[in-house]
Amino acid sequence: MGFGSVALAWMLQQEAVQAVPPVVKQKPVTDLKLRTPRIESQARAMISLFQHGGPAHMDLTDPKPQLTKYDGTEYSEDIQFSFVNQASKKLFGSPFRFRKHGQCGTEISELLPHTAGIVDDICLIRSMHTGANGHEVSIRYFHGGVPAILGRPHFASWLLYALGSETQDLPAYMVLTDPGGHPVDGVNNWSNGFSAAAVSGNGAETQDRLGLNLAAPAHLQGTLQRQNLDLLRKLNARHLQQAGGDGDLEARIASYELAARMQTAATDALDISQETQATQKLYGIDQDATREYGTRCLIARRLVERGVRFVQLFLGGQPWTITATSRRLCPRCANEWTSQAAGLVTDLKQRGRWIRPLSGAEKSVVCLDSDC
Amino acid sequence: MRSAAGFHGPGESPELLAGQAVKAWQLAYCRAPESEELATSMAFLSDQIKYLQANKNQLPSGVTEFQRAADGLLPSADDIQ
Repeated sequence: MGFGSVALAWMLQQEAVQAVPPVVKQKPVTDLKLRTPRIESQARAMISLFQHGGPAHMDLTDPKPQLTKYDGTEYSEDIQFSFVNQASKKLFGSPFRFRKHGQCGTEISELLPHTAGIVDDICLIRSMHTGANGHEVSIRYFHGGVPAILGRPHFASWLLYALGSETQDLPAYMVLTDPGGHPVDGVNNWSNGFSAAAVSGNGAETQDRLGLNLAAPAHLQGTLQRQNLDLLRKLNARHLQQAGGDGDLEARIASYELAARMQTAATDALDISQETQATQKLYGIDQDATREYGTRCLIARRLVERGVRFVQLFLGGQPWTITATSRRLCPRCANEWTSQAAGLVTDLKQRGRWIRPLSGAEKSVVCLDSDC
Repeated sequence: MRSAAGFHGPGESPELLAGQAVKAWQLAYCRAPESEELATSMAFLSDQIKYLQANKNQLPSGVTEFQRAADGLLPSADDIQ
């Protein structure tokens, strides 16, 4: 007697006593198959280096000569204070010097020497503001398009919804978090909101979990693991069918299947030892203060090279917070989290993958943005 | 009890294979498998046993092919989303 006949006998026995399962109507689901937009996009991928807390623009990229002129004097007009107990009308000009750089002659602070070096390759927007007072409300505005409100999809979710993914072996929307902790507003920063779970961001810690636990145990590698995954796929597909095409469930199943494929693809993407010393130096990986963030910036480049559509880097907490101490901390922040962006732009440009914002058509966009 | 240690008998015979697959589902879900689930589970056990018989170097010492395959069935059942 073969396996099939045993199974058949058992099936007939079961079906004789079981009711007919109800027919469940299937719901439409969102997938990440590559889609062709009606208008061809200029960039294939985007890397966002979000600077939580709000770097002081008047100390970094936006000189205020009038503020410097009236430094130390009382402001004569009315002011609405957010924190009344710290209210002061005394004006405080930037203690940092600005100088014109590049052919464009854009003024950049002495705190950003690396950014000054690429100033002709970037688009510096000085006019963007949210009109909202507060970090979380501004972050949600920036990412979701509406101030303060949770539940709106991150703009990266819209990108994926419209364009799909160029890779099926890596998450299309990756968030490289700070080993020191999550940013202010936590996982809301990469929420898909009301859109399908399939277009949600995937948080990844590059230092430990993602990097070290990708390989299957030795006794499971190869055919055995593939057979295990095939079984799981079949059982999950059946479960999904019975659930009526639940989008969250489908995304969860897809993420686990993706995790299996990532064992190869992510291991390769995260292996920065394949990069030359010169490239690593470009990202500040040779310096203690800049190594961690530089490593993430380099991994971001390797991810978009492998078809990841959107990568966003966050800092733990909101280290750029504008307080009375920020003038003291500003140089340290600028040193630790900005030089790598210049290295990334230079590296992408050398590889022919850089698109100068608001200009020609090439491959990638890097966005250095913040919440204040 | 969710491990191959909970299974008894030689296991390699088809009759016992079906019975053990049913037992695996009862252990994982407190219910018997539906017909399609049983067929899928039996095919999995059969494939794994065949592979392990031909590749004994992937078999931990003191563990039979059937025990190893059954152990694979239970985690898979647990991982269903």
